[in-house]
Amino acid sequence: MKPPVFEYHAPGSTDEALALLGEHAWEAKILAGGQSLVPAMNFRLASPAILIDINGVDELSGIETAADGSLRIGAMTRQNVVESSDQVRAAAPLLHKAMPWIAHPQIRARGTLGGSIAHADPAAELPAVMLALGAEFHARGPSGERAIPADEFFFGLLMTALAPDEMLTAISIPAQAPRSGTAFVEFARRHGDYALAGVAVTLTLGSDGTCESAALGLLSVSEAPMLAVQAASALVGTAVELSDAEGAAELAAGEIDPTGDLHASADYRRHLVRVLVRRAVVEARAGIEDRG
Amino acid sequence: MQIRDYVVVHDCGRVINPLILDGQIHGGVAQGVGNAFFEHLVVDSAGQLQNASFMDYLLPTASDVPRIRIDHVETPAADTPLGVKGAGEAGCIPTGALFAQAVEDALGIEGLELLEIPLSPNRLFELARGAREEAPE
Ligand SMILES: Cc1cc2nc3c(=O)[nH]c(=O)nc-3n(C[C@H](O)[C@H](O)[C@H](O)COP(=O)(O)OP(=O)(O)OC[C@H]3O[C@@H](n4cnc5c(N)ncnc54)[C@H](O)[C@@H]3O)c2cc1C
Repeated sequence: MKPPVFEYHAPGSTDEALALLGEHAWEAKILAGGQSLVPAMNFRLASPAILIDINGVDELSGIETAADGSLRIGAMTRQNVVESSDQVRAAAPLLHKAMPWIAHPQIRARGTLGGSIAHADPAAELPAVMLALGAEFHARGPSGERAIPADEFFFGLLMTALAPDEMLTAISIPAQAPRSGTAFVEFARRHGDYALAGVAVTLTLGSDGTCESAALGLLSVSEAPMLAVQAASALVGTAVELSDAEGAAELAAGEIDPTGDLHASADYRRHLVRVLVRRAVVEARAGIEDRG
Repeated sequence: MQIRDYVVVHDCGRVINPLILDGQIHGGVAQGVGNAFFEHLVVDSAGQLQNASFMDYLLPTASDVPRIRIDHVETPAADTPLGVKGAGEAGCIPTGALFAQAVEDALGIEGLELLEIPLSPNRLFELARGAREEAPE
């Protein structure tokens, strides 16, 4: 199918894009990689009257490593650039590990980091990964810039804290702490499909070898990407043995609010979360020993 | 799930063009993998098709189709001039049933008998759970 008629703008700077957005907010949509928006328009699930194409805004892409090791990644940075970045691999191994699970290489060559986050699909990898990383999103709107922590950003199905006249400009990710391990696991029907369930984990051990902090981001098991808060806090203080991973998995399965669809019942999603959380926690813990 | 090996021993009478024949078998197996694991029309009670796009109606992709080893037995047909038989369907016809057998074997769950395809993960989960619940103590 083809999309309904729309007006097209291609601003050359963030200021210009924001001015257009300010003028047309409720009728306009930002066009990033177009890998979610354009199919939605073609299926006529979305019909924005105005598209503001930010592919020509160079200042929105790029990866910077700050003095403290943290990353700042421009919203328009392509997913395949993030995937092959040595900076990302060094500072945020979890993000590096998760990238190949997003769709297919062709889609990652167009799709952007910011686009996936702004789109906020509960089945997408990046929102759950950002939650587990404790990332922060930088937004700009008519009243200036603000930073929104990942865990205050995702509200519901495709709903975020962004106002209609605001745009996402960059993503900040803290450098992975020493004595930390991460894992990303998901289960999809075919490689590249949206997952039926998935888990992103970060674990940090204290000097006594027990878990000091843990974060578990879950995808596809709720109306919005979510943190399994109870499961994570149950891990803190433990040695993260198999039985601790199983305990966390059981709690996570109780925290989620899955729905059934063509490919997986709510029941099956709960089962998957139980299995995947256990595997992810075990893998993240084992990764810490690997690096000594 | 990982398909570790797939072997076809095939008889279409006299082989005329081995390359085309192998291609037919590869294509048939790919289609059979689709039947075995993915392809399923879901229709609601009002008769509305629920998976009318390739986003929801799944076909096997390159990463779902295994490498296929092929060997031929040539039993010439008595009634055709060149001794040939059809070669188009044999690749896909047994595939669903034999994957059902292989999955049954791999799971090793007592009482689990797979009598249907496609074997989606969700359906397998239900069938496996059903078999476990019915298993005698
Ligand atoms: C066949 C296929 C399979 C896919 N599989 C997966 C998958 O397995 N996992 C997965 O996570 N994704 C998948 N995707 C989606 C893909 O990752 C998209 O690229 C991503 O979700 C959206 O990024 P985009 O840059 O293409 O954004 P667009 O499609 O351009 O935009 C998406 C939405 O975000 C808004 N937006 C974009 N940028 C900004 C910004 N800077 N500020 C404010 N709003 C903004 C747009 O207005 C729009 O509403 C798939 C896509 C396809 C076509």
